[in-house]
Amino acid sequence: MNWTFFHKLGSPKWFYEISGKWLPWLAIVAALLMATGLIWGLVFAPPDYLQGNSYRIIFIHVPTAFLASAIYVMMAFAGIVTLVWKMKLADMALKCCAPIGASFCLLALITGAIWGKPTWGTWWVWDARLTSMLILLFLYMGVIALRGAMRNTNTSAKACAILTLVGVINIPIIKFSVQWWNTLHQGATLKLTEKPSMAPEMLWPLLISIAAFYLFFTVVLILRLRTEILDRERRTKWVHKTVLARQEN
Amino acid sequence: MTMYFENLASLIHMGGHGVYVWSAYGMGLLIIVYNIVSPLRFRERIVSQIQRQVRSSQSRGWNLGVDKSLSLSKSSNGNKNQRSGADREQKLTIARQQEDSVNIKAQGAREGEVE
Repeated sequence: MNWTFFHKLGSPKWFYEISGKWLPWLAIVAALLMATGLIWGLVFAPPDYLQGNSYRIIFIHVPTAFLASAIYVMMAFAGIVTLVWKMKLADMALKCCAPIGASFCLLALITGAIWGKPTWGTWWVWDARLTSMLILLFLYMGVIALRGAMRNTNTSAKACAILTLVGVINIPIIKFSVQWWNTLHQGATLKLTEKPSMAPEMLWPLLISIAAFYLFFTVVLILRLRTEILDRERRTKWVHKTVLARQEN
Repeated sequence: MTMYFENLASLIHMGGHGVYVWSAYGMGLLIIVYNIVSPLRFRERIVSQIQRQVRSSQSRGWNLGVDKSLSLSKSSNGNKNQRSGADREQKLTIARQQEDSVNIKAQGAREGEVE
């Protein structure tokens, strides 16, 4: 098997150049999808027969909750790559994912609380889904804090990778919490193995919003990563050329 | 496809759920804006830091990077005579501070190797 792509992927300079070309297009598609999904969900989708209009929160709540878990899983993979292959770019990705994942996790918790008030009659209950999601937020904050506490890049990379890998046990707990325990939280809306229980006029805007939030995450991750690359490679020739070229424009 | 709401008032009210739906979307907007603004500010900070670093190393006649041609061509453009004394002094101080921080970093890297 030809492994050159793997080594290229690990090269910060290569990533910086190629991502600069993708970024504007990804951003445009993300913005269009986001506008389509959310306006469709807010204005055009019919209300739920049980929950009325409050269910419209789903178009933000579900994509961000999905992303909060998915970003953590991604960080865990980056952690493995950091520990095994010591790939610089993987550690940079792990670092840049953390604040984005934390913000989405917070948003999922807040929108969930706002949705809970009209639906369950309470902002918060200590049930399995909500509690495990709160733990996910704490794990994100732990990774961010640990990074800030260490000055040496190599040591902090290793420590953050290990912490992320330990915390990944929480992800299946979040996923199956609605099946294993009696919870107030409703079961999964979307399942890969079954036909969706949602009406298509609600399902479509939801799927579009999910795609939009994933793309949005990709865009802001690339934004952060590019700066992180400049920061860590600041003593190389190509970074000096890049920043001086920006200055002359 | 038709709009579900007949007028703007009913869209805002949402059958009594307006407060919840709109505040949730407001929070969503806030988080989205944060995720765009925060990396852009980070970028501004790092780029101007590196620019200062490169310029000060050039004015001292040496370069933090490996690119000798770049530093030579820039310093031969008349950097030496045009700058006032105070300006030059200030630049030297900044450069010295940066040299120190580079030394600290190098020390840190050595510690990492030992470990």
